[in-house]
Amino acid sequence: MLAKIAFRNVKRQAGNYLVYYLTVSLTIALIFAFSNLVFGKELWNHPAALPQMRAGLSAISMLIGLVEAFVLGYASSYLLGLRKQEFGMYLTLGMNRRQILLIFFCEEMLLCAASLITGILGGLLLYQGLMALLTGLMDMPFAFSAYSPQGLLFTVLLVGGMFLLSFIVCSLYLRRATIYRLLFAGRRVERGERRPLLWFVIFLAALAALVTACLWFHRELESLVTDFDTPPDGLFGSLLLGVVSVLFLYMGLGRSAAGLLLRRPKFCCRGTAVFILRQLSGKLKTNALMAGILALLLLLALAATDISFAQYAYYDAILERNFPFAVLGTLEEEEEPAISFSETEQILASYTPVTSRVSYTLYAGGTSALSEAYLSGERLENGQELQDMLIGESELNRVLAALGEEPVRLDGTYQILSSQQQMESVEFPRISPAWSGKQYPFGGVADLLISLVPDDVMFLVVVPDEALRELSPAWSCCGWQLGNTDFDAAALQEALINPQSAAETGYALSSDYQVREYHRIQGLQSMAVLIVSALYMGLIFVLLALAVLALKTLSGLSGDREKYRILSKIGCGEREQKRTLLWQLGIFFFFPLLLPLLMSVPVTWICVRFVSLAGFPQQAARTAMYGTAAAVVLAAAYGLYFLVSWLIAARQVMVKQM
Amino acid sequence: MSKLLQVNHVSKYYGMGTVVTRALDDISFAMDKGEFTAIMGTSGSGKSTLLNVISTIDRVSAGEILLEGKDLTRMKEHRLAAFRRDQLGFVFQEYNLLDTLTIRENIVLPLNLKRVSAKGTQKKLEEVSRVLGLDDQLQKFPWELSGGQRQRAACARALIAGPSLILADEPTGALDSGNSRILMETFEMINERLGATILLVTHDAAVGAYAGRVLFLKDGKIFGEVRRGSRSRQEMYREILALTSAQGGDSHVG
Repeated sequence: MLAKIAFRNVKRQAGNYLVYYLTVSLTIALIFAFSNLVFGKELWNHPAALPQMRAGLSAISMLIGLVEAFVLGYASSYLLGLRKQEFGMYLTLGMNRRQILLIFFCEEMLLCAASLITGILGGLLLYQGLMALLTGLMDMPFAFSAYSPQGLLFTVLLVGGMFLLSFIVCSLYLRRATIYRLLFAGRRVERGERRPLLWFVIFLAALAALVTACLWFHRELESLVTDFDTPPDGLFGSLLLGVVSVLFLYMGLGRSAAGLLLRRPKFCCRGTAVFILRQLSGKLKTNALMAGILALLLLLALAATDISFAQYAYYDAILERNFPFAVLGTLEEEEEPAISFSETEQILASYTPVTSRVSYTLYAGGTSALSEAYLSGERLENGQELQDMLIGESELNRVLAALGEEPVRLDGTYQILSSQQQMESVEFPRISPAWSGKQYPFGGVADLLISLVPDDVMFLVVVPDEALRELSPAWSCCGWQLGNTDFDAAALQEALINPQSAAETGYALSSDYQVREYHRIQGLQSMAVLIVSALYMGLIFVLLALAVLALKTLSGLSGDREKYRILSKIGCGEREQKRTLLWQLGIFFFFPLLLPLLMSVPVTWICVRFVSLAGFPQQAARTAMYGTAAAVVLAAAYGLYFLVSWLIAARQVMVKQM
Repeated sequence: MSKLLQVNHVSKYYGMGTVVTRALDDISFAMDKGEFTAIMGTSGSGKSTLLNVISTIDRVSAGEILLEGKDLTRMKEHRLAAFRRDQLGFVFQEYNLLDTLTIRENIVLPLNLKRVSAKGTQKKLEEVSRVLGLDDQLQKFPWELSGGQRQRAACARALIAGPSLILADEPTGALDSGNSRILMETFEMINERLGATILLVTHDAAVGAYAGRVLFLKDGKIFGEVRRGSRSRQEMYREILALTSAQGGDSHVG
């Protein structure tokens, strides 16, 4: 009989349970899709997938599980809130608490089973979508990805465990709550804030603190990008200030806005304005901190998206800087090469046509002052042998001409050539080294950011040709440009392995040659996993925020129906009631979104600035576009969830005219 | 006096097919402006249904209802809302004050719905709260007042927009005898001093005795009428009891 009651209850209140069911199903779909990513074989069979990544993703999946557990717990308490009065009534009719718990358990299990089925079905599709995104970012062809039994088991166990936990918590409440509390719990009226002016002052102070945090963050980021020696403490400090100020901002605004507006008679005498403000006053006061936390989650989601795409754009651009040649070979003069340049050229030709080749020589400067200046402080390792590497001006200009770059002009000075933006911050200017019996003053860091050096060399010193007169060559370098990128880059890189170096370093693909296409794919694949994880977490935070808001909105409706009935009786028409309900729900729902939407502008700007500071202004527009798209998608998702909640609320609350 | 309210051959049926309940059966009566009329009857007599159709919360199955010459039964829904707002004032048994609003905000809500200016609202509020003795209660919330004070606040809300007709559905139903007496004296006062036209529904003879005229309903029909005239309230009370006793004596005595 109890199971029958439970089944009838679920069927009868399908409308109320809809948001709960959708939320839980979506939660399960997200967990299932991510579990397949972690436990499936598709991703981990790729060479770019490092073991640390799996550990990282597992940690992220646990974090996701915790977040989802919070959502499920909140959804269950919403469900309990809907049923309190009914359970109280059952108790007054003579049912005992064990029977009530059994009914609640049956209902939860029914919903769990239904959500699990739809969630897993949704997760199947979501997982394929995730893999499509991942393979797209990794620049690989998409193929249908097999599902993981461990992923399914993990999902079922995790969700089952979460339901069980939430049931235990709810049952503890049901065991202890008095009948009176169950019957009359919904009649508690939330009171508004008594000191709105004080909270308004707190809001203004928090706003000022937030602006300060943004400016401080921007300054620290700029410093970090341009100066090697900048510690990250300031960055973390600005983030901490930002987080605290967001929370206080919401608390201040939530507790002051309605109260201050209620003091304005001209505003209050407009229709149902005072009704809306009173409805919101208590609710915003009670939920101000929650709104602040949700705003932070939304901001995190936006920032994660912006940063992910900025990283992607940055990586794409920095590749050209770090690998100006399709293949670059660097051979030490003192050592016998494993594969000579001519042998290499034959190997290259077997993969793809070679369009051009340029050779150059690096000289040992016999000094280490510049290297020591670069490696000052913490960067200097004990026993590290330093040697400044030099290249002649005319030789460099020949290489630059082959790459289509502007030549450098020394005018009797020396310049530093590197791919790193932070070189400007190194204290080179005080050093005037001597080469071939002549001292040369510092002529600045070359405008061009490019890497023409082997891994062991940190930067190049460009000197007038005469400075090399008495110096010995240290490295022979050769760069090739290839006809196309449609070749097996991994196989080519493997064909150019230096076995001796591989044995010494323990890195299987150790080589005197760098194949740009191979490094590009490796980097993209590693980055793709991180980007997808960041986007996924962002998506979960957004859905969590929306779910909590929808459930909070709908849980307060039972008392609202009576109020709207009174409004109807005293002459408030259906249209005005709809407008009133829209304002009442809309303000509460969109309150947490306010700051993230506004902050999306500075966050996007900071990402654009970061990319520009890193030396890629041409990528800035692309970054701005991604940031704007992310904000638009967030607003659209928000709007959609609000629409569903609004439709359910209107159906429940609105009093139809006879 | 001109006829303010005319109820002509009004019937209300519920249900379909073989199971039809006749809540109102061919009821006709009229009210003059400034009249204080009570409708009395036992549970199920149709008195609340009659109030609901007059207040446009429910629709009639047959007949017409004219208020100041306007036929309410033919009005469209959006006009009915405006009509309720402008022409009618309600006092309910359960006060129906909004818990989240202060007493002041509850009272002026009908004026807000009519978009009356802040200055105009304040002026009317002062008048009404002075008459009903609510000056000290305006900043409180409903749960901070006694039942009688809440019902007086509900009266103030019903009165403030200057409606043509005030409708009260068992206004003393949730009050003790002391507060009931105070409330009915309030109704009497607003009828005599402010000329408010009041139509009140009750099953309590003591409450009905305050009215200038009492209509008796049984099984959806009017079966009797008593006018107070120059009689005292006690005499009116005895007259009401006599009439209900003649019909079976099962009317509730307060």
